[in-house]
Amino acid sequence: MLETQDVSLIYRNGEGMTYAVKRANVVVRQGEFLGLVGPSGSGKSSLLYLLSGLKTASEGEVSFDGKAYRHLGNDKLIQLRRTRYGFIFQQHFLINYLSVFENIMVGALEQSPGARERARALIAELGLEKQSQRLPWQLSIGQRQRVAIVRALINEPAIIFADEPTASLDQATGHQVVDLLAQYRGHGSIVFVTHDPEMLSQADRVIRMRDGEIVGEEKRNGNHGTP
Amino acid sequence: MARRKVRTGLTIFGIVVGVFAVTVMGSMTEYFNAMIDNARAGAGEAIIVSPKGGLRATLSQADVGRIERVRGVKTAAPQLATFFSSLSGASFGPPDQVIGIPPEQINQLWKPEDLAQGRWLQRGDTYQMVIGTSIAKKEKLKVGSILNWRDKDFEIVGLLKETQTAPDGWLIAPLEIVQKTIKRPNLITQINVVPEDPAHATALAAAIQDAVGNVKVQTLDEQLDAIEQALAVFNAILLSSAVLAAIIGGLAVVNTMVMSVSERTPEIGLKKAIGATNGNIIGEFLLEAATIGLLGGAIGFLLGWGMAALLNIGAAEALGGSEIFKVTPRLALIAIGLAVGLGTLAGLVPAWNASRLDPVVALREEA
Repeated sequence: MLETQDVSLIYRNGEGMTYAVKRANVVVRQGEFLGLVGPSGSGKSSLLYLLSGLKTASEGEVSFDGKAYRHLGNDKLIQLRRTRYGFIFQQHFLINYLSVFENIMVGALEQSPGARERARALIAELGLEKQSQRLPWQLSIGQRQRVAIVRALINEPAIIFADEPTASLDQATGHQVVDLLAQYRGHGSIVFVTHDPEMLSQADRVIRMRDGEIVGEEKRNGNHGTP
Repeated sequence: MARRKVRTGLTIFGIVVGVFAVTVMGSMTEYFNAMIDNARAGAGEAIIVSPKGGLRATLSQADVGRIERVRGVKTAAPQLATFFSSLSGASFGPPDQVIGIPPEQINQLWKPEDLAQGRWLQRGDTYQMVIGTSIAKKEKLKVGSILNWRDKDFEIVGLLKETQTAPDGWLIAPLEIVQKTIKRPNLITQINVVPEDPAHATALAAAIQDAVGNVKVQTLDEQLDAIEQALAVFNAILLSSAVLAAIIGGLAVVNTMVMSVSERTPEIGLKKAIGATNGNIIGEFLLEAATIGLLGGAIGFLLGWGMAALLNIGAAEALGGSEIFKVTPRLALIAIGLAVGLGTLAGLVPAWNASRLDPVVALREEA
């Protein structure tokens, strides 16, 4: 469904240029939990930005359901992100003057009663009912990240892109976040970027990166998704 | 916006001050504009003949006769205007005047519907008067009251409708009686000429000038044009200072919006990442800037309106029924529209900058 062909992200600096991602070929299968792991500066977040359309490829092609981003145009790419993708970042990026519920609705495609009902159901599912009217600063770090997960899930995306979502959390809370995300496997795919291989215990597949290049791929669990 | 209460509050306060100034000063210019408009509306087709040669120059009954003989003149009504009381204190309008007009010519110059109460002067009247609204208020007079002026008792027989122009301060009495009361028989200070064909008033004015010679002949419109030109300068000074105050308020909005965009960079990054378009971001910030403008504009206008009302009460007491601030729907539209417009304009560049942020770069900003 989502794949790249020799995709590169190049930063030019005067005469010189640096490959953040170099000729990467990745396939994200429907319903799989794909881990991208590597040390700091290995290009894993840059690859996530290319996959999600947050960055434009300098070379190569990224396509979703057979449609290349290059040919989609900016408006349709924005629409794709809004309707089919969900995002979780290292920082929760909750808006600090909005309540938990309102923060979740920021991500909703429409402010309909149906969307509000779904938000309430997800809040209950993730055990945030008592916090739904609180402001972000009144929550623990783990609770904030769970709210960010609900915000990413609100539109039932085809793919969730998680960029180091456990980096600011302790191990136990980090594993809780991973477990929550892993539950979404099957409903949609998860692309999970981390520098900590321990956080990928639930991944179906793990791609290793170093210096902008894919240096290895490892299949883990039984579910490898549908090509 | 709500989270930055103090800064937003101060910005709104800046707009409030600007719009307050626009409202109060604008209400003064609206008063003058209304005065001119009303005078023009009530001016009809009259031609005013006044003496040349300084304050002591006068006209005579012979002049009236000469004017009456000019082809195209329907009526030439002599008039004597004299101060009701000795000049004292400040006034924002013309002074109160006793106007002497031959009662039999009243109906050529005034219409029955110009009266609010009572009746007009008529042939045979002597110590009777028809008075304007502000002098009635000031002297607490109504139809049937007796007014003592220069040791003579005058009966008030009619009350004019409010015009917001000079006649509000007029006391109209028979010409001969006024001449007799001030001990200046035959004194005429102005001749009001009604043309047979109003369309030819300007040409008739020139003909009168030729026929009578040493007099100043002007249509009422010409007189009002001259006053309007003088007021235009005054209005421009008042309005430009008020608009300057509003622009300073607008600059406060620029500052607030620039700070807002800077503080909310990660928020903008997130919204763009999850699918907000540039238009959504621009719209959000412009709405915020326009809301600041609207709030400041509405509060500033209401305060200005209140201040104008208070000043009018003060002016009514000090100047005797004379209102000098007129708050109109047009002024409300200008004042609030200016605030919203300035707010939106001030938010334009910060909103545009916000929309151009790269979501990945914005997300890397410290929250």
